[in-house]
Amino acid sequence: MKSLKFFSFLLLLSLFACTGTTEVKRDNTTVATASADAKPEILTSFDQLNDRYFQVKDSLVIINFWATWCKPCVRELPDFNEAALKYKGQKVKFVFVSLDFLDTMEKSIVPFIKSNPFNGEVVVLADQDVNTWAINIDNNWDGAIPVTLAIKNGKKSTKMGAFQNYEELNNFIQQNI
Amino acid sequence: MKANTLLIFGALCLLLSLASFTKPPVGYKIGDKVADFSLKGVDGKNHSLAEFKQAKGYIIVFTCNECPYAQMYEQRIIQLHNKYSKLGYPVLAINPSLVDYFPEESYDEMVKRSKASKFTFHYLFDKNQGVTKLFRPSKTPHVFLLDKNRVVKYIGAIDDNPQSAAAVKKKYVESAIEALNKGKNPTPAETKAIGCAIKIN
Repeated sequence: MKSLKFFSFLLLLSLFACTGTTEVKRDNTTVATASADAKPEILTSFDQLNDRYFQVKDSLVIINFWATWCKPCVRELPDFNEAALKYKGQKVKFVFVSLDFLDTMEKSIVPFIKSNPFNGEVVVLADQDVNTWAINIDNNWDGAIPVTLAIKNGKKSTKMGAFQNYEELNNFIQQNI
Repeated sequence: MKANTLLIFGALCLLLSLASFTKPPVGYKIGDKVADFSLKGVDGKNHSLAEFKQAKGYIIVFTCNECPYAQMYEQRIIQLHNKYSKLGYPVLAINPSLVDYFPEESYDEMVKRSKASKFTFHYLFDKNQGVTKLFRPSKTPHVFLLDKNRVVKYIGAIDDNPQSAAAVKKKYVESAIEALNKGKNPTPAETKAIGCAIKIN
């Protein structure tokens, strides 16, 4: 995860680079090389995800399940990024769990992250046995993504399907914060 | 003014009470009897359940051209059909996509896809989602296994590993068919899986 933070920092740097002195531009080149190596962490079992994010104390954790091939998922990501910026410094953590395929990561999620910065952690969940872990998301969830969870001190809320807009997402966060 | 306010209030009450009575539409569940349908296949002809006179059951698969999950399962759907149609369980694949939103799912594209991937089963075009609205599959691929009386016996995934056919441990549809063959109800009767969400109008 450190590498992701570093990556976000580099992305910020690249934003500043738009002001454009030669020196900063050199930094910009570094950005390209560094981000090319930025690969999200792969979690092979749902338990790892559960241990890491479902048991967090005293913070709200927003977990969004998405994939680069899922159009409605990709469409709602800017709203998540906006929310993550708004709640920065508060006890709200944003986690983006990608269900992209491991064997095509280099062509899917790696370039996607490169061109679409995330204000939060991105992990790839490779646990294929969805039928076993789906119940931990919601009793009524049957596997269609996007799906978003809000977890605070073990209390869980679910939003199945995409948020219509930023307001709907913000309301969801407010109801669970 | 007062009358207007009352009118608006009344209208709101009516709307609210209506809303509380309008439950979200539900599709076929385990134990429901499915109505026969007639949909155009990629061979240009219409197909129905009734044309399979010797059928012991039907493997209805909602799938489409471009969803990566549907594509990962194409070969496995072909194998299901090749193995089980001989035993009386044909695959009927239905594309539930709204072509207005997904032009890559048009009838012509379906014909192309079925040729390119050498589909051996009927791949049917549900133009106005008439059949899709009855089943209400939530994503592609999504299987409904029917017995010979067209009663739904299993709903869900083909197996437990979309990304690797070689690593599959549980072949849900095959086990369900074997249960039906023994006159038993499949367990599990329902499974969950990731897929591409189906937009239903």
